[in-house]
Amino acid sequence: MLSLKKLSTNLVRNYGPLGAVSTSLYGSTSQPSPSRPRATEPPKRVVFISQSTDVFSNLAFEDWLYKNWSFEKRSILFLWRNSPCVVIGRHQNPLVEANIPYLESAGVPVARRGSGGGAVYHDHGNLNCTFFTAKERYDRRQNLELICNVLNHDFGIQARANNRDDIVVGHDNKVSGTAAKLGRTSAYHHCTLLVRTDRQQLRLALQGDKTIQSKATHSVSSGVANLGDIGGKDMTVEKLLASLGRTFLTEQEQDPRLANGFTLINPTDDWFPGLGKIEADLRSVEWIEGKTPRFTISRSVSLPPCLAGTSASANITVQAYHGVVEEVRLEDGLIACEELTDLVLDISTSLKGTPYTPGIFCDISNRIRLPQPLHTQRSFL
Amino acid sequence: MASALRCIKFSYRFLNINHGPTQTNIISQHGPWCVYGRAHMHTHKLTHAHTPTRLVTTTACWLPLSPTHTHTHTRLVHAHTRSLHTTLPTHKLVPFILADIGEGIKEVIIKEWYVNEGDTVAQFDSLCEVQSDKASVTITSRYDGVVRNMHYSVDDTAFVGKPLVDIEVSKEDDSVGAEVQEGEAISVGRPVEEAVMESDTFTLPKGKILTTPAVRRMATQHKIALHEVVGSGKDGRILKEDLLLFLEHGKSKTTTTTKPMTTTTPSSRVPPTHTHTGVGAPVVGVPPVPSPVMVKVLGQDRKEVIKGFKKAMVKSMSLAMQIPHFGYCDEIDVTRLVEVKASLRAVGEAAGIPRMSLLPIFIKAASLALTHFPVINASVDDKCENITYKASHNIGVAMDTKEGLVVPNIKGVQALSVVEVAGELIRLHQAGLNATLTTHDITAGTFTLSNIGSIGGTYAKPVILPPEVAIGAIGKIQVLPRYDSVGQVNKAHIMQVSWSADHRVIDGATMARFSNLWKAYIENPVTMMMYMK
Repeated sequence: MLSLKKLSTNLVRNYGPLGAVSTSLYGSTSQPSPSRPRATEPPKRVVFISQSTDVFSNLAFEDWLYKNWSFEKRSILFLWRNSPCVVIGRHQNPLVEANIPYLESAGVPVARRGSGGGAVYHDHGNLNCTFFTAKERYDRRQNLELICNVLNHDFGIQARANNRDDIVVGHDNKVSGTAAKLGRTSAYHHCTLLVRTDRQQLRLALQGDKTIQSKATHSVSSGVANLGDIGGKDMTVEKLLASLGRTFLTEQEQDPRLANGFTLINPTDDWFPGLGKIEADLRSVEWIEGKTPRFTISRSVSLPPCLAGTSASANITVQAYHGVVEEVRLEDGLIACEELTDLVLDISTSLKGTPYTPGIFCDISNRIRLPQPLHTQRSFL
Repeated sequence: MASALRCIKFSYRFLNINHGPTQTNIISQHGPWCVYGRAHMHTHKLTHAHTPTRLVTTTACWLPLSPTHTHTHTRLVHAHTRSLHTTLPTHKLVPFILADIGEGIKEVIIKEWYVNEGDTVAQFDSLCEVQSDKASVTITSRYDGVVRNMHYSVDDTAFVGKPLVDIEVSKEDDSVGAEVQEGEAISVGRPVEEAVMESDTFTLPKGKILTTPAVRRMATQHKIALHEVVGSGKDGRILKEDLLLFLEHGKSKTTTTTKPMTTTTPSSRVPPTHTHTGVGAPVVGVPPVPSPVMVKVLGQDRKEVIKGFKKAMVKSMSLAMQIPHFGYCDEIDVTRLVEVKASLRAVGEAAGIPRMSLLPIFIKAASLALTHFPVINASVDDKCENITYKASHNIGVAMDTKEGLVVPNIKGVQALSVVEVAGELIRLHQAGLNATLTTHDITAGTFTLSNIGSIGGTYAKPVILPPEVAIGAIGKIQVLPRYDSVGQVNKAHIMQVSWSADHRVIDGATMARFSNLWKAYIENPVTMMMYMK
């Protein structure tokens, strides 16, 4: 009988890296080992490493695995890195979490992931790990403990997971943030690991507009540290990646030959049919902006002399839902003159349904400054 | 007694009942007597979020709250257990309890609803997204049914172990409480190369059939082998609809196979799913059909590529049929014209026109009428966005040549005399016969007359040549009895005309008046002479 390893290497040669994975599937389903009963067999562990640094491709692959694979027989650790980007949680407001104008000018994309939690900044000095398991085997602490063990044994860094499921070093300096998504049968838990991230950029990128009021999930900010600063000059993302992968595979396996080793993943539609669609959805405005929970933002707009009553400016509030303007209203409406309230009502009806942009207040103040004849026209109608 | 009942009527909009402390506040303020509305309440949009569809107000339904119910529990659950609602007799309202998420989590926040009240959900459809700590969880339905009573709205805190929604399931589905075999429901080890996100006809390996227990029972009732049925639900699940479809197909299959195939062309085949192509009851009691005579076809089918004029006709006719045509027909008494035909001929001969016919007169009369109805001499563009009232009356005359239908036109009829029109007509006719018609002859027409009556026929339905907007077909002249003004039956020469016009720019009244004017000119040539320009 051909050993599984020889079979998998043959398959890798013929069918590419994923051929090896399919061996394990067929191998395990068609030839159950008589010594161990099926039900209590621990799941095989596989490590996937992404070859892409595009945040949308990687997020799409994460989602693809979550939706298309069954994790009854396998648990997967997916390791990935992205070029500079900001990733916000599923129910967050990008305007609140990230400095959108700065990111737009710098060409840094903002992506929304499918799991909850807060906003993070990714770049090449940051390693992302995603642990895929069946829902019954979902255990965040176990995953975090694995990471802390690796940091302790291989790099001599004293790291621990706190009660918020962040990995901290020293005096509560955060090196990792966690988020998770649970479905009916599968679940995943992912976290970041800051190794050599540009902390300056991180701070600038995550400076959102905190004056916005909403019920979106708020990020809890904390001081961050780079593992690379603590672990020594020769600690790199690649080394951490290798250590994590190796530990993940060898932790539970009695027989190291059955571990399938590292698999390089190229997250494209050719390899994974359906990935293209997920990626397109993740890039779409409907997902990134369209999933923003309801929020209101108030600014003070100066009024032209004809409309100014007792004060020279008015507080205008814009309310938006799913990235689309719902209402524009006047705060402290009692002291405003009737023309102003009418005007704000008009502006509200005309702006309703339009996508919210940060420049909306400029637009509103322009509309308020309409020349007089247009006002009189309205009164004739 | 009524005084003892402190009846408070308030609208749910101002009441925040999901947070424990507020609930106790209400009870402490107003005592244990609180108002319960009807249990069939829509979700209460409680906070400053404005979604008018969810507004709920109570109706006067005063009920005492028993003193024992003082713990902070969502009111609607109470209402449900007190069975205040009127459920339909055939349906059962089942509370879908929020199952344990894990990690010792007791409460979660509802972040998004994927269903609305009244939506039909199937088992395993996503209901909502909740967030606990850092985990975002998708809650899927355990039952098939209709969503009723959404107990929470977005941004509310939901409790584990308490109902999330109530689902109305049909009574016959007794398996509602039964646990679905999770092991069966998950398909195992799909190899990567075949894994497709949304595959409609997903065939499972034999032995793994996904269905609900209710569907299985129905299958055994009807003696259906489940592995023969194609599942159309998620992951290849077999739904009740699939069983019903399978039963229908099974019936139609048996009828098509019993009917004998008696077709004249052996290549045609009746598809088994079409039950209404005459495949019905077996042929009984019909007199024996005589065996068909085999017609000997001499020669062979001849295939030809459509080119030249025919191709142009294909193109122009396809374009023409996009115009909304309307027809208008009339009968014209050309007795007077026929009477003077002899003298017309004589004048024609003198002018060099051999065998003058009545067609030039019809053409000239049309031009005279067109001056009064310029819209009929107009032209529209493709999208019918612009209309051009043409100044020149270029009246086309349909000709039947060796190649087929050609419509050359006589330019500027408004400035030509009848003799000149006749001369042009002859020239075009000769050119048509010799196939020497130039592009100038064929293009820039504004109105067309077709003298199909020269071949035969009375009424016709001519097709407009784009970009024109009207066309007339003249039938043959017949001798028919008609009443005259005195009431006597006389011999009359009757000719029919059929007009077709583009209804986008011409209305019926305009066409009728044009036709009447043209008819007036022709029926009484003196009028034509008087108005001749």
